[in-house]
Amino acid sequence: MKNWPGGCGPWRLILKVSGDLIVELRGEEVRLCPERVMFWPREKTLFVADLHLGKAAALRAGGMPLPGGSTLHDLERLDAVLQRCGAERLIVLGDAFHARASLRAEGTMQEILCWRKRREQVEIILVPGNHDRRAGQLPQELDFIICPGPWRWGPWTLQHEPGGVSEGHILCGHLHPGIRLKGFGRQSLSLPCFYSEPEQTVFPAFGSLTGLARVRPKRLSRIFVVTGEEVIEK
Amino acid sequence: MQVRYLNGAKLGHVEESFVARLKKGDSFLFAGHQVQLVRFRDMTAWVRRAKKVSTQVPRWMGGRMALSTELAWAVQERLEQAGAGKYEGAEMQALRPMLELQKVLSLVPRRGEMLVETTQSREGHHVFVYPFAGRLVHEGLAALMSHRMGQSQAASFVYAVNDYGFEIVSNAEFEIREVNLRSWLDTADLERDILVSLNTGELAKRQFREIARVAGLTFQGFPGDYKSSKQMQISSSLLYEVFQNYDPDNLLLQQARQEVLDRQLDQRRLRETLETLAQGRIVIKDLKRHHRWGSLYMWSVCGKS
Repeated sequence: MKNWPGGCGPWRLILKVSGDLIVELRGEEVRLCPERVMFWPREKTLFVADLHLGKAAALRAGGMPLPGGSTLHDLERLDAVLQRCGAERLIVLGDAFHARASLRAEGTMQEILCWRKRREQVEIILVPGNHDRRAGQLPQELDFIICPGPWRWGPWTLQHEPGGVSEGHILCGHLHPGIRLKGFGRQSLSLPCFYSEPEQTVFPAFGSLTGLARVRPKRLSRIFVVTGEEVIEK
Repeated sequence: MQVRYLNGAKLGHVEESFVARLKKGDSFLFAGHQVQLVRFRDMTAWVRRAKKVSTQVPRWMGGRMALSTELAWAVQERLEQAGAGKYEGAEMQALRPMLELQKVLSLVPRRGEMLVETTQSREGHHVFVYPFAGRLVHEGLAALMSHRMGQSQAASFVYAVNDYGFEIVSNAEFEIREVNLRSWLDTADLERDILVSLNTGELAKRQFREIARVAGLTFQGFPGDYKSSKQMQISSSLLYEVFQNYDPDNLLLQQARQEVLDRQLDQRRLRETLETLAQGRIVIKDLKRHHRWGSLYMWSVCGKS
């Protein structure tokens, strides 16, 4: 595994345990999971970005006849990874909901509230993103704690959009980073990834109804590609 | 894709594939003006007058218009004449050096002959097949053949087609012998293999792009208007996956599959083509020891003639 030039970067000690990539970031042990989330065992906290819940519902409200089921599927995925890691806290780095219409869609909202009820012991903190701001007030029953970014917590600075200067390592989303892998025989595959620079890590989008924005590796960047089953460093 | 000056004046349309190759600041000749690409947004290429002169001119690849059987036949005839050393007309004269090089490196196929070229490159193992049956049929043939090749040996395939033939690139090496080729291009189990290659391939997904646009799912914005609400946008490939996962019987998906079956994988035309090929000779040229651009010459000749 390559290191930051001079070995001064924030990522160290890379280990692989059944699909998860365990790394030390700013002195903290964290796990990058193939479910497109990061788990911080010391605080039993799961970080996730860009859920875009209710995107299909919002598009339906706009007159697009899309089938339902994608939000429920995303909730199930989220639920499964919460269970697997034994997380007690979930931090959403923005864009939890896609649009105002997502909150108004009754069926979708019902599914979300139903899931929330089942997992009521999990503390959910939302660092609002651009979509959340447009979505407006969240229903009380959701029991989301709103913490506008940039929010310093431990070694981290949590915010939705990348960029800015901070003492903490910035954890953010917004970009939906993806990378194209090329192989022999003109094979190519675009996959979501964690895009990390010395000062910040951009999370892949969690929602299944989201596209990818291709990122290019830079000199000091590291890219952790998320395949269906594992996280690998490119 | 529209081409407009920064002040809003419309110049006309170019193909997406042309603009995709340009970088910011690149200039090209369009509608009688030297223009320079400034930015590229919402399916519009914004340009300004350029000072430097460029020789780049947009070219229409003919989009999806396929060669008719008659035209394919005529081209084959021209090639046959060229094979016999007869170059009639200015166009054929212009092509003469290329065709002669092709003759040296490989072969200019005669009527009733199907040329198959194999070669290797850093990209993978290439097979070029020239049935001269038109773009649509070639797409079907390429999908069918790569599916059948995959049956005999696991590999991944990418194919490219033009009006004269198709190319299959794979990561594994296949033994390209006449027996194998004939079994890959056989009419037995045609119906079953067509359905399988339809489901596994990208064909339906690509066709769906057009259908999604016609159905108003990927909104292009009203003519002359800027595209509105960003939150209402979604790519057709994502849409395709949503439908496939949560509503596999959706009529739009069925339409996409049906259109592929009617066009690329039209059973009757495919069967006819396969039967013609079965009767003809197959000439295999292994270009490994030759100059490997040989087959690419043929490729570009095809694009131009």
